[in-house]
Amino acid sequence: MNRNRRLIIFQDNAWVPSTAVIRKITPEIEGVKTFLLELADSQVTRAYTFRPGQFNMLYVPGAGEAAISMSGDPDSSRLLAHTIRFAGNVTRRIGSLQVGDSLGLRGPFGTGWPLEECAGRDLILVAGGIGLPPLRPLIYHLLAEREQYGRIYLLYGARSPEMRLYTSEFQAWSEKGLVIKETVDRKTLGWQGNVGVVPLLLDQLEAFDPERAILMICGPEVMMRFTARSAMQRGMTSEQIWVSTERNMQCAVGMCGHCQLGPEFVCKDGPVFRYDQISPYLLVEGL
Amino acid sequence: MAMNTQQIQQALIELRFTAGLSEEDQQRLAEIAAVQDFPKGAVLISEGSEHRDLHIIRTGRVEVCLSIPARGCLPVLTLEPGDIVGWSSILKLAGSMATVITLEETQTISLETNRLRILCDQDHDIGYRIMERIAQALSQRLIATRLQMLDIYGLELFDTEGQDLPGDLK
Repeated sequence: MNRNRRLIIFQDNAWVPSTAVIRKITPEIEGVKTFLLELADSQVTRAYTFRPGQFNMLYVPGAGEAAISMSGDPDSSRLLAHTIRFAGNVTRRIGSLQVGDSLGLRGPFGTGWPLEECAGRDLILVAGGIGLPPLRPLIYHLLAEREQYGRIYLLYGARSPEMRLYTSEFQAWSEKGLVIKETVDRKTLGWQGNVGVVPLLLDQLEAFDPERAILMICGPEVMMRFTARSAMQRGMTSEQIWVSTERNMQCAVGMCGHCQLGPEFVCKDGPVFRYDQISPYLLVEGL
Repeated sequence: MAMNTQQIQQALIELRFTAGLSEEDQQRLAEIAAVQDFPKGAVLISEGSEHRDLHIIRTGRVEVCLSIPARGCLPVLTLEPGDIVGWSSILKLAGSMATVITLEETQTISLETNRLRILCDQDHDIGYRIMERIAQALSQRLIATRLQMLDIYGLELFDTEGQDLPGDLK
């Protein structure tokens, strides 16, 4: 398997965080904000690059570290975007920070989406809920070189219309050639889109070539499993499907073992895996 | 828009529900099929009522709703081209299971279920293939319903920060 497992560390020591300053905070939906971070050392900033799908470890002194996916444009990375849901001790502390405050940042870590597999193919991106941020850098990248790909779809599911992320960008993405289909689990007043879970959008998708398409999924694991199942019923193979997994990542370099999933460490072998590589372990209780 | 049998057969070839059937099967279905057009907001089926057609959506979108006392008809599912509506009639269930309303101008290929059932009874091979497709469509909806019940976006399914989770998920 041709996997890019390159680990780009912008410091000599992957354990040492750099200082990052919060330059902008954008509230997205309830409990979720996007933080634009600037690395304090300009030399480090110039050397920093990331692949769509990679993540950083964000460090708050006294609280600890949390793995947060990059959610900004990989081709414009002076300010590093991280869309964060405030769910645990670290992320809640980040949520209390203000513009001008600083935190620690290590990264980028992990594998990215399989860009080298995408050229000339139909691409289907499936996001559920807070699964859209790790796909947004990929969307920016694909749309920046739109002519290199076939049809590109974003199938996006959320709990309710008000829980959808980045909706202000949807029109611009559509104009650049991204076909967006949305669904919500529960309709609220004024919603004109679909109701139902996101795998149904894949069942309903007509215009794509299952033999030549690449499917990239990020969201709740149960949603990813059933979306992959739908894709395989449509004729895709598990070698054409990529998922971004989530586990308790502590060290980010495959040392501590907290994120081990079967023989893989999600932090360094993932978080993006080809489905045939990871699917046997997704149904193992306790992993 | 009126369509002749040949045009309906061509439409059946292109629709997900009937794509992959043999030419002979599609021709036999086309002979008992009709095209129906509905404006936006039309009620295709009312919950609890008898209805006589199995619809295959050709264009447009419809919403499946369930009536809840004091809350009205709550949408639970949106169906698009290639999806079927009115499956309860072919299964001889007493009354429809939900209300189906068009969200936009919608065209369906409708199969009158008495005639479809006679066709399936007379030729069990085509009957098997039709019922297999209906079972597949219903299994997709069953899975979708299970996922909706899980409320997957509302739960922290993984402890990604190494802390205790509320409730009994851990």
